Amino acid sequence: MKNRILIVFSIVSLSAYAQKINQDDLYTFWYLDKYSDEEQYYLPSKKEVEDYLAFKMDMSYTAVSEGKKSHGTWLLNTNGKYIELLSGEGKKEKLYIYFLSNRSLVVAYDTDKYRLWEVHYVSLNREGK
Amino acid sequence: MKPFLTVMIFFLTVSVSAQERMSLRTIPFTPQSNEKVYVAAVRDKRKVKSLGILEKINGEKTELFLKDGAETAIERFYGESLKKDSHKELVYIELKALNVQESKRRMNNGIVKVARVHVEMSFFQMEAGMLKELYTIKHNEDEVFDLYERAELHATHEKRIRAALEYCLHYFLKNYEEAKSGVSADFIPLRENEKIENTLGPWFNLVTAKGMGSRYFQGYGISYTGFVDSKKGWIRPYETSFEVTWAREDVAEENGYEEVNSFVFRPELYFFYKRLFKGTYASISTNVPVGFELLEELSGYTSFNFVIGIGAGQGLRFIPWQKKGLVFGVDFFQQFETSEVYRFDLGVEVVLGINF
Repeated sequence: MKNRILIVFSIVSLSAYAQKINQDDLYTFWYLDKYSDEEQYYLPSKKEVEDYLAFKMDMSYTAVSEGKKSHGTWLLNTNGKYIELLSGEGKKEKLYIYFLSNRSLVVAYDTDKYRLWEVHYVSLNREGK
Repeated sequence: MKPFLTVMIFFLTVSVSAQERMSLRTIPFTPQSNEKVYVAAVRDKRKVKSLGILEKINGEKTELFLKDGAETAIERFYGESLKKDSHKELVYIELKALNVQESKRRMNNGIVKVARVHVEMSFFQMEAGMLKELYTIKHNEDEVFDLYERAELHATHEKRIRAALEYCLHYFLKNYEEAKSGVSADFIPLRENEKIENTLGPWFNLVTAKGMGSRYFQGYGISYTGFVDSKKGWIRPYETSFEVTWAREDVAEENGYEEVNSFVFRPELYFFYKRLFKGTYASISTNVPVGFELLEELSGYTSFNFVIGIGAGQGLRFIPWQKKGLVFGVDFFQQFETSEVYRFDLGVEVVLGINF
């Protein structure tokens, strides 16, 4: 019995773990909504209120971070479940995707300073694409 | 989570005593910029065909291989995303490196584990009956884990191999037109990330004792130091230490005390090692000594004094045996502290310990 519970639990975990990322969901404007850690949610600071990420189908992106605008190219790594941003200055950033739907994007920036934070973005899509 | 990981490891691997064969799953991805090619063949040019020797969760060492060999596994993986088609052009791949590594490193104020898949591959096309190299890429697929996430780290090596392979193909396709247009007799193939570090530096654990003497105090201390070795640049070790010191007799008496004992932790603010040559490091640090003094007056009355300060140190560490062995060193230090017997002190420490 114990083994059966273990296998059922494993299958449930597997389906939760293996959320398939649909690249089409990414092609939109993602507005910074909030941050979270293991304990609670935090609102963006005043400087970050207008921050967003916009992924275009030509694989270019526009980002506003603390009010500063930047451009570059991006790619989705489906197997690694991350987005790589390559800025115009040649700087690479890796964003692990924790959750993606056509309305919500939750990522973690792969840098020591921000790795423990989840960053929540929302799109203005009402009925999907 | 643990049962799930146990089952996942079971499904992904078939244990062969001290060897493990890992099935590479074929999860398709969307090539982003070019679908005019497909991978005709992969040639494994690695001298060592294994992915590396890793320690399993139970502590057992095992040599990791890709099931069915790297050539077949990679061909199958790419075949799922770049479908074979007679209208497409053929691409040949030479695998020059593919390995799995684990190490530790400092992150902010703690220690984390780092898992890496290192890959190097070259892409070729047939030109006038000859294979011409178009593009070579090196890539490190790194992921950071908490020290207690050993099972998750082990279970996700396969995912990072897929991610690394996907990464290389995305970059090749992104640069395909440029690489192809340059093919001629004197063409130099495009190279991506040529200068990246191929291997994660080994992690050193040092447990050291020190004897110290200064203008006002003498005593002992014990420290733990962890760091990743690196030939180039500054190394940022993690260190935590505790010291027990006492004021020299004449210094205590001059200040009206029978005895002054001090108990201090020393969190580092900035702490760097610089490798001078193999096994020898210079160190510089600034730290915040924090603790208390136990003051016994001549009358026998005892009181406490909270101490906090700012300190600096410069020293040398010798680690002649890289895997396990003795460590020795010397440090010079200076500090301002809210002590009852001094404001500024300077001295020297002699360090002896082990690395493992």
